[in-house]
Parts: sequence; structure tokens; C-alpha cells
Amino acid sequence: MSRPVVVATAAAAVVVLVAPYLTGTYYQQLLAQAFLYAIVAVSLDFVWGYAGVPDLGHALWFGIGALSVGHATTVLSDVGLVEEVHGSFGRYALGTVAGVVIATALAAIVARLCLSSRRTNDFYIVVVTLALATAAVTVYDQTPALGGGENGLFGFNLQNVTPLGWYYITAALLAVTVAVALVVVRSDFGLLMRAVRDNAPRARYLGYNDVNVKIGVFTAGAAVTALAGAVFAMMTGVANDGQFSFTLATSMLVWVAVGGRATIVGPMVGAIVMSLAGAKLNEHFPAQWTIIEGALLIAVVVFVPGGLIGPLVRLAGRLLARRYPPRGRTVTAAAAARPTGDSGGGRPVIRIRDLVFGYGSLRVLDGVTLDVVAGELLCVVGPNGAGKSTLTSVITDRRLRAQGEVEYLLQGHRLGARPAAHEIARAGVGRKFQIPSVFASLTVAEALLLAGRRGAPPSPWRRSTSVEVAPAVVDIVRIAGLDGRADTLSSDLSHGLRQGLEVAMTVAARPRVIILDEPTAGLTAHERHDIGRVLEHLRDIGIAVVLIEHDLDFVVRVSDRVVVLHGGRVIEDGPPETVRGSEVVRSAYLGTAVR
Amino acid sequence: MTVLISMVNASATTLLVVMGLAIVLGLMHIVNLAQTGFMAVGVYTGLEIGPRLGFWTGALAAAVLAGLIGAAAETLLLRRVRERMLETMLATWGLSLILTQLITLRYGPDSRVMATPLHGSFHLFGTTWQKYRVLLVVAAILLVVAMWALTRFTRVGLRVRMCMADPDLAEDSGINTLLVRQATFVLGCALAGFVGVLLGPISGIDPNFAGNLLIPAFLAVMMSGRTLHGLVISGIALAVVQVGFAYWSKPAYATVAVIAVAVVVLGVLPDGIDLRRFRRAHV
Amino acid sequence: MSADTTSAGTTRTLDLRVRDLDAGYGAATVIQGVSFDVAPGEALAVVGRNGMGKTTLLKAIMGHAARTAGAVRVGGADVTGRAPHRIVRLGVGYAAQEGNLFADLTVAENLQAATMHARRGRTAERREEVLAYFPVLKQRLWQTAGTLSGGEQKMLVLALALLREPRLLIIDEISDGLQPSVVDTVGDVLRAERERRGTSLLMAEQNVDLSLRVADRVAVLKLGRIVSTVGSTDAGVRDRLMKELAP
Repeated sequence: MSRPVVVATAAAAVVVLVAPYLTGTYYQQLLAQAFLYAIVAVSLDFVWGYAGVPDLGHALWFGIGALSVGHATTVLSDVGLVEEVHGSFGRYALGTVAGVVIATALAAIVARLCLSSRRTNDFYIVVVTLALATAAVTVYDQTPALGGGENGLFGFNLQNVTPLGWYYITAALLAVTVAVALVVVRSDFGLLMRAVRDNAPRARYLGYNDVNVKIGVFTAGAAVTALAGAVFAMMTGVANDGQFSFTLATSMLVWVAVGGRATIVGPMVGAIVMSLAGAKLNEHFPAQWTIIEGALLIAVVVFVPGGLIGPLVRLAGRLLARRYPPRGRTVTAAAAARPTGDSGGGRPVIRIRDLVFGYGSLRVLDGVTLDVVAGELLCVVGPNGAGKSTLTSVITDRRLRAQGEVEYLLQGHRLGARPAAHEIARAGVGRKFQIPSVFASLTVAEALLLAGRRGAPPSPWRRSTSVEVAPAVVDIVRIAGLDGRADTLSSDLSHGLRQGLEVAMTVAARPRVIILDEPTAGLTAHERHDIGRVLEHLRDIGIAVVLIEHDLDFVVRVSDRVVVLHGGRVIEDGPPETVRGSEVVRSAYLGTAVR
Repeated sequence: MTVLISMVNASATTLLVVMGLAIVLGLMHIVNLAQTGFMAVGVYTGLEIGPRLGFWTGALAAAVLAGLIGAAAETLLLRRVRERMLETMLATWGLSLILTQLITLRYGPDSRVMATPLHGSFHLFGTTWQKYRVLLVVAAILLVVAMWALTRFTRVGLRVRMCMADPDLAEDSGINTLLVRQATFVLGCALAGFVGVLLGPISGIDPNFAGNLLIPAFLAVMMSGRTLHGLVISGIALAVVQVGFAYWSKPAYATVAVIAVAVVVLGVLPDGIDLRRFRRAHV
Repeated sequence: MSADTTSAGTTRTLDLRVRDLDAGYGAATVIQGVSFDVAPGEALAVVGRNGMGKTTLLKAIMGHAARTAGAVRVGGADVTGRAPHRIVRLGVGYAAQEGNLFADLTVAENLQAATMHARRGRTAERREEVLAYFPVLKQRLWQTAGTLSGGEQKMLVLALALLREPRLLIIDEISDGLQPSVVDTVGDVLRAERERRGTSLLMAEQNVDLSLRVADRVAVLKLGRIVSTVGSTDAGVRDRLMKELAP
């Protein structure tokens, strides 16, 4: 941490410590509540801002925590009125733990159901979280035995803690939450969260289980929020349907949006300021306050999407960076270049037998049989529509329902019958997409860092500053013109540079099989030549290189073996010269029908 | 039999609400969380105008007013966040809060009733049918048919589908996408206002009277797989589940059951209900 | 391509004048002070390596990318700052590099969509003309465009742009990712179309051979500026362009 940050943190700590002595108990209570809301805001920022999962019913978790404590510490009559309060330590602890466990379990189930890899937009999770929060209120109100119905539960607050005590407890909880959150989002795991948010499929083909990352973050956010809800209930002694409500959930969204998504500090400040202002205004103008909240939400979302506080934090960060330049990440070649491929080339690493795939009655692959061999540069060519890209998709994601066999003979990796894309990637099958597909908010070095881990879970606290990659990756970085751009955001790269970054990421994952879908598209003859050299180098260190390519001259120059696909079938398989001379290939390539 | 009639009626209600949502979502990718706000604007307009100038004049006025508010919201706000689904959702939710609260400020939170324009009932198949509820069923059917014909057979329909598929490309094909977007959103809002009045006589009216309809409606849209027939099937299915659960179990669990059904259906059919999937195999 | 064709077709062709154009995304100015003319019936190819701003230049002309300065005139009308659909309605056909067909619609629906604003009456006839250029599309009419192969999609993209009988055709890297035989087909189609209708043409390309085959003049774009313009029949032009494009 740079000195100004230390000074600012210390100053904030002093203010927080001294503030309660300047005000009365009323403000101590308000601030304590605001601190708990700030914890909720930070957890929602984690879920929504960093992992990109919009939870519109985040209040549900808060309500579960509060209700659990209330339920554990009160005895209810048949109609749901509080008859007795059992305020023993054990019951408070039990209520808290139960609340967190229930919220965690429910959140995990909801996330598992809503966040499948096949759903690409936010609509599903938004509607389900929204619906659950609404349903929770209905169930709560109509089940008095559970939480007192519309009256709610009350009077079970923890006795021997003063408002000042709560103030310090909640302040400490908030400090811990924010500190942990800041460490995690700056760590290597923070990179993975952003990668998954920016481009989940690409993360998947680098070996990361994007769905589990989202589920994990969503569940953790729910757990933290349930804890805050439990503390809130102990403090105020109140649990009611309002804590589940969509109204509170909306306020949470407003805090994060106004504070500024993906900044942690912004949502924290947003929650404190807004909940204090809300509490004051709500006393006098309850209806107007809702209108102000609605207007703020619209104004921020439409006109200042970065939020109001987050940009100030970022600006301060930039000014600081000018005086105290941050340590950027460097990309270096790993000292001892361990051969990444299997020693002893010539061994098949993927065996494909009678692969059939189609949409409806259209057969894109019509019985493809093919061996991919270690240490060989295999080119798959064929006219447009021959099924080349489909073949790539089907062998890198076996969850796509293709008939036929694909066997992966990768030492040290056992793959099930239908391995998912990230499992295949982790086993060492790298894939480069035809259209460059990068992580917008990651720098070149950060993208290579993630790629290099090949799906191994990154540390949630460590922040790597140097990225060690295979020498081949350094070559690609140089050829693509990416050297000196380690700290450039991927979103700022041009089309051609993204193409280079894609190839570099694929190779950085130390694959044993690498499938490149038209890596030369949009490159000049000179760059093609350089890419060709890199591919030959990869082949020489024992990697099986599969190249899908159009440029026949290029193919003949670099490849060891050429497979010609036509109409979803392999019509030729042999050395480049033979294939080039083949009459059947010529006619297929020139578009004459062969069948 | 009463359950069956309730199911039919609930299906009609859901479909009426769903159509406005689906036009705006399916065609413009805007999740209009202000739908209930627009319905509230509609029903209170109906309450103001209906007794003086007649129910149907009130309904038309409601459509016009909701449409105008929709046009303003689209022009001033939504246009700036187009194609960003979450942002549009939050913005429309903010709008909904404002509309609902403004109505509360003006009319108070108390429940009101609206006179029905079509009194009486008739007997058929050994049971009693209320004329107005039958009218709602007919209206729902007409709305579905009209929507189908519009998107399927007209040039306007193709234009809308083009804008929905790729606005930039639609521009490049010579289509004024801004106009199409605005028109679609306004139509959706106007429809919400109109439907608000239609549902007035069968509901207890308060500023948030349509709130409970929103969730099943959204779930139906979600299950529909962006197809009209999917929308009809899922709207009816959810209404049936809700009424069934409310009848045989507790109303509280009906809400949960509706969500569960939607989640299960989408677990089995991740792309929603789309019968074309089955048909395609025979092409 | 001869002068005769162009003068005969002046009523049907549009010229393009670009003056001191600056354009970019956010803070980054990608195109800097670009000026050029495409005379009625003329074909100009803009060549350059990736990241030199070809796509941005075309997008800026079409009103898709932010223009920060300069003016664009089509057929004498100032179109600076106009919405793309209004430029298209002047008779400009634009084939973008990405997102250039309706992936969820069938080929037939795509063709119908493209002619939404064409002059009626000729539509059916023109459709046959264009499909005659690309027989493969005829067999794919009922297939969803998104499931076509990359090359077939490119053919469809070109077909869509041609369908509207544009008087000025603007094409962005049609050869990107295409196999040589299809690039040849594309070249043939563009030449035939120009001979038949005298269409003015602006194409962004990396493929020097295609550019030379189709265009009258070739402009080289480097780092957002036009650094040289040559006639496509000048002596040694191919080598010169190859040298310009080498890194």
C-alpha cells in the first residue's frame, strides 16, 4: 500500500473511532445499522459488480438471517404473537449459524439452477431472484407460526450490549468485510471473477469452470448478507417481512449503483450515506423518499453508469498512481522451458471415430474418423461449410450431443464419457476461436496469467506481479506486436492485436493439443510467416497442433499432414503434397460437387 | 368446475398482462419492470374518467396516457441504455417506484373498486359464467391472434423482427430503428394501461394492485423461449398451476409453486418452450 | 469499369466525398484527417493492415462510429451525422465486417429483409439476378443464416448489399477468412455488377490482389491516415502495395 492510502485509512479509522462521542445514541444506532447495510452493499458488489450476477432479491438472504435469529429466540402463540423471549447465548448463536447455513444452502441451489453455462443473459437470474424475494414475503405473511406473519417478530434484541457497543461491533465487522473484499478483488482470483464476468465461454476454454465461480461468489455473498441480517436482528430485536422485501432489495441495488459497481469502497459509502439520508427523510416524507430513491436509481443507471462515489475513488487512485506508480505486471519467459508436450511424438492423443453431428436434419459432420498425433502439425482444410469449425466445437466440448467416439489419450488425465469444455481444456486441449474473444477488463499480462494457470484455482489473496510463460508465448507476444503492452487493457487492443493475444493465451495454457481456428485471418503475409514459425516450434516440442486454415499455400508450407473435410466427411488424409495434387480435393475446393 | 373457470380466467389475465411485457422484452430486449406502474396509471385513469365518460373511453384514455409516459421514458431514459438489459431493468424499476408512489401521494394507499361495464351472467355447460370475465377471455384470445398475425404476415412485423435481431444491421437495411423501438415500447406501455383498466372491475384497486401479476407474467415470458406459442402455453400453464395450488393448498405456496414450475421447465428445456425445435427435424 | 459505363450511369450512381474526417471510439482518435473522393461509377479500395482504421473509416462514413470532425457527402448531400438508415435510403449499400446478416432468420427472410426499402416491382427480378451470382445460396434458402458456414455467410452478406441495387456500395473486408476460390467469386461478382450497373464502390481490403482486380484506384491507410493512392493499372503497383503493407 502506498503512503497516502495508509494515511487515508488511518484517518478514516480515527474518524470512525471518535465519531460516536460527538453524537448521541440515536446516531450511534443509525450508524450501526448503516454499517450493516454497508456490509450488505459490499457483498452485493461482489456478486453483481465483480462476478456479474445481478441479484435483484438480495434482501432475501438478509431476511433469512434476521428471521432465523428471531425464530430461535422467541416462542410464538398459535396466531404468531411473541409470547416469550429466550435470549440465551446459545440461541442467538444457533439462530445466527442456522440463518447463515440456510441462506447458503438456498443460494447454492438457486445459483445451481439459474447459472448454467447455457444461459448467457441476465434475464433468468434476475427474474428468479426477484420472484423468490416476492414469494418469500408472501410466504412470510401467510405463515404466522414461522415469523409472526405481518406483525413480524420483535423484542428479542440482545440485552447487554449498548448502542455504543453495537456501533463498534458493526464498525469492526464492516472493516473486516471491506478489507477481505479488497484483498480478494485485487488477487488472482479477482482476475478470474472479472474474466468470467467479461467472457464466460473463453474462461471455460481456458480450463475454468465459470459456472462454479459464479455459484461460489453468489453463495458467499448470500452467506455474508445473512450474517449481517442476523446481527441486525440481534441489534434491533426486530424481524419482519420488510427485511425480505423487494423494497429493501431495491435499496441495496441503489446503494451499489450509486456507489459505483465493482469498486467495493463506492457501494460501502453509498450504503452508509443513503441509509442515513433515507432514515432521516423517511421520518418526515416516507412517500417522497421512495420517489427520490427511484429517481436516483434511474439517474445513476442512465446518466452516470459508473456511479457517483466509485469514479471519485478511481480518480483518487489515478492521481495517486501518478505520484506512486503502481507495480504493473511483467511477462517473462519461464527460465527452464519444460517441454510441454508428450515426449515421443507420433503417439495419437485424440482419436475420433465416426463422429456425427447436426442440427435437425442437416448433418454438419457425417462420420468423421481422425487421429490427432503428438508432435505433428495437422491442417484441416476444406471448402466453406465442410464442418471444420463444428468439428472443433464438438471435440472441445463433449456436452454437445454428437454421436460417435472421441477418445482423449492425455497422460495423467482421466476424462469421463462426456467431459465438459473446461475439463477438456484442463486436460490439455487448447482452443483458439475464429473470432478473437478476449477479457475486456483484463490487461494482456492478466489474461496470460489466467491462461497460464490452465484452470488451476487462483489464490484468493495473492496478487502475482510477474507472469511466467513458456518461451513460445513470448515469441508470439513479440510477433503479434504485444510486447510493451503487458499493462494494456484487452478492450483497448485492435482486432489484429486481439488475434495475437488469443493465440498467446491458448499457448500459455501449456496445452498438449492445440486447435487453432484460422489464426492467420486478417494477418499479412509477413505475419503469417511468423505465426507459421511459432506453430512449427510448438510442433517440435511435442505438441499436437491442429490448424484450421483456408490459405492452401500456407498449409502446404507448414503442415506435416493434411485432412480434407468435405460435406462433413474426411475425403483425403495424407502428406500435403499428395493432398494438393489430389483431383478429388481440387474439385472439392473449387466448389464442384463430389459425391 | 369452478376451479376450471378460475383457471380459464386466470389464464386470460396472465396473457393480457404478458403480451405487453413480451412485446417490449421479446422484440426490444427491454425488461419493463414498470409494467405494473403503467397498469396502475391505467386503472386510476379509468377510475377518474370512467364514471364521467364511460368505461371504454376511460380505457382508451388510460392507453393514451400510459403510452405518452412510455414515450417520454423511452426518449429521455431508455434510449440511452439500449441493448443493456440490466440497466433498462433498473431504470424501469425506478420508474415503477416513482409512478406507484406518485399515485399513492395523489389517491392514498386504500383499496378501491371499479364498476364493470358489462353486468350479468349466463348459463352454459351447467355452470354460471360472468359476462365480463368471458369478455376478458375473448379479449386475451383476440390479442394473441392479432399479435401473431402482425409479426408473421406484415411488413411491420418483419421490420420489428429485424430490429430485434440486430439493430445496426436493420439500420444498414434502411430501417429507422429508433422509431421502431419507440413505437414498440409505447405500444407495450399503452397496452399495459389499457389492460390495467380491463382488470379494474375484477380487482381490488390500490397503487400496487398489479404487483402480484408481475412475477407469473415474467416467469411466463422467461419460459416462452421468445416464441408466441411458447408464451401462450407458459402463460396458461402458470395460471393453471397458481389457481390449482391456491385451491388445493395455500395461496402462499402457489407463488412458490409457480417459480418451481418455471425453474423445472427451464431445467428441462433450457431454451424455453419452442415447438419449432421439434418441427425443424422434419424440414 | 470504363469511363463510358460510368457516364452512362450517372443518374444511377452516387459519388462520395470525404473531407478531413476524424473518427474514433471514446478518447482514441482512430481516423485522422482523411480526405478522398469516389467519383460516380469509380471503385476505390482502401488497403491497410489490421488496426490501421479501415473498419472505423467505413463505420464513420456510414454513421456508426463517432465522427469528431470533417464532412461526408453522398451524391452531393451532406450526410455528416445522419442516422445510417437515412444514408442507406439515399442508395448506399453497406456490408459490414461483423454482424452483417440476421443470424436467426432464414436466408430467404434475410433476402426479404434486405429489400424492405428497395424500389418495389423490381424486387423479385433483382433477387433472381443476385441469386444467380451465388447459386449455393439458392440451395440454402430455408436454412437459418447463422448455421451457414463462414464463406456462405460472406456470400449472403454481399448478396444482401447487392439486393438493394445500391448506387454506391461500401464493403468492409469481404475477403477476410475466405478461401481463395470464394475470393475469386467475390471478385467476379463485383466486376460483373460494376459493368452491369456502373455502381460506385468503396471497399476496405487486406487482399491486394482482390483490390487490384476490382478497384480503379487503391489508397493505403496507415495509422488512420491515407499515405498514398495509386491507380490499379500503374506499373509495378502490386509490388509497391505489398511493400507498403509489409510491417
